Amino acid sequence: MNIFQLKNLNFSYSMRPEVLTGLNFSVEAGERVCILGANGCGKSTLLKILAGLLSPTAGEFFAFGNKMDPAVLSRDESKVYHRRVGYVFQDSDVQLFCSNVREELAFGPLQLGLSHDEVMASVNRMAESLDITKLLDKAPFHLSGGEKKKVAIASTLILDPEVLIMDEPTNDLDPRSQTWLLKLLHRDMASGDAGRKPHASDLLDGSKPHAKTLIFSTHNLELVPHIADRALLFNEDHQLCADLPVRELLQRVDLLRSVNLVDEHFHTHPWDFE
Amino acid sequence: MNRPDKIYGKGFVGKTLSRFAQLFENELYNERYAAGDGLLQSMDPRIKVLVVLAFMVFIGFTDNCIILVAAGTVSALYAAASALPLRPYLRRTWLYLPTLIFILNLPGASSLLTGGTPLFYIIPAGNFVHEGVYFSTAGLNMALRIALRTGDSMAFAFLLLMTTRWSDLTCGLRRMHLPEIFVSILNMAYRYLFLIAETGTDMMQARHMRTVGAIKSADSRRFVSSRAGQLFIRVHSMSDDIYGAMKLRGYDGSPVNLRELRTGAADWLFVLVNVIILVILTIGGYVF
Repeated sequence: MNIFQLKNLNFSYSMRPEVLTGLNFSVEAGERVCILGANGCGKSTLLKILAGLLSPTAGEFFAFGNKMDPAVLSRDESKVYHRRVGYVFQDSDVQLFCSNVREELAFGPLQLGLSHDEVMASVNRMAESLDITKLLDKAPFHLSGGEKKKVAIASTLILDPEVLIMDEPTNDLDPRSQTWLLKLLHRDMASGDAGRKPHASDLLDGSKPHAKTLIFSTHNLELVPHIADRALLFNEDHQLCADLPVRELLQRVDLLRSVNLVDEHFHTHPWDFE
Repeated sequence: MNRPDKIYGKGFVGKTLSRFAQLFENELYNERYAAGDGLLQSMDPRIKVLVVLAFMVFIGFTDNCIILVAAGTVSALYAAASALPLRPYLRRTWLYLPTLIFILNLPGASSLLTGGTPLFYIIPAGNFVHEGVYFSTAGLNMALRIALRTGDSMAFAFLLLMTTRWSDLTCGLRRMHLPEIFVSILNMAYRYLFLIAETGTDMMQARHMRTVGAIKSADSRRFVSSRAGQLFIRVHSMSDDIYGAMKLRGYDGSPVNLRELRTGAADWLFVLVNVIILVILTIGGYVF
């Protein structure tokens, strides 16, 4: 089943040149897709379009089989869509706007109209699942960068979205936290098998048979093969220039170099300074 | 503890940075007390809003300085019963604005603008001015009344804010059928305030770290005012993301609250006690 389908999609912010040009691709349910490209190539904009935050300026965007235009969605349709598609911002600060972490996690479930007891149970389970229980009563602006990212991810996962979109998820994360994220994504994105432990995605529905769809952008090429199966590569002209399995793409160093994702190996020798 | 003014110094940029830092400190301070176990913290926010509004209306219509002092005393008693630290509370409510307003009203309290029975002379009669310049009883009473009204109103407003979590307050306002747009604007303003403060702090700190040697005060002021424009542009672009983040988690303009608001017997008793206090103060206004 197609989760997303883009046909000749273009996007430009008002009075500015196009940020995305002639995009054509689709994402199937359960796929793990990585968006790669240099700074300013339009990765974040594309993710925001998929998340329903921006409307394409030309072309067609289909989500879950229906033509999608966030500008004309009703309140209820918008809620349903955002329940199905979760988005983790690159900058965690913009995502954390409540007075403490507990309220931050509760914000989404409360907006969905869950009862107080259900919300509290979900918050506690999510905090335990992501090991952030000790942060629950802290103010977001007192957290470190890594802690903010964890809370931002938790506040999205608590809604149990079918599709998880993450913009540069490893930003602000130290190596240990990156490993934590990898484990979380492996655990949370895995197909349902009888023996798996209960995890974050089970919070609102304990019997999820299908894997989540994951779409994320990153510069961190080391991370990509551990999380994604497929990579979409953007060039600096804002066009999709490759749609390949991750392992195949990572072997094409010339292609990665042409889009400014890798540079000539830079190294020095001690005798250079003598 | 490292006070912000000690860290950033006393220049114009330093003072601006200190103000930003104080905003965060105040927020933490308020949240800590709002989560406490005092009298007002246990009350339904809707009841608190109504009681505070009733006191403010009463204060606005009261001319008697003794009664205004009594109303201020009631607010201080509530602060004590709500486990708020009295000295900072009194300093924040009474020290600055009411004092400033009293001083600003002093020219109006003099015989140059307000006549009446002389209380004491600033310039004795006959020296330079035939009748002299003096403060009259009526003039000083007027200045004092305005200062007391300001202080009392601030004290009750402060009491409400210090003993109520922001989310409870906005949820209470919405349940009192205040227009959704009004509550949404309040909520967004509150969130953006911290965003502005945080972004502003970053910008000021960047400047502070790159400043070597003395900078003229005028240059510092010019820097702060030019950064205000930059700050606006930055915050404007971030504000779209914040609103997007709220929408993505189901926000549709209705504030929600983790705590359930319930009006119990204690709340109604609190209303009754305050009605009695207001009646006594009103009668007192006629007696004194």
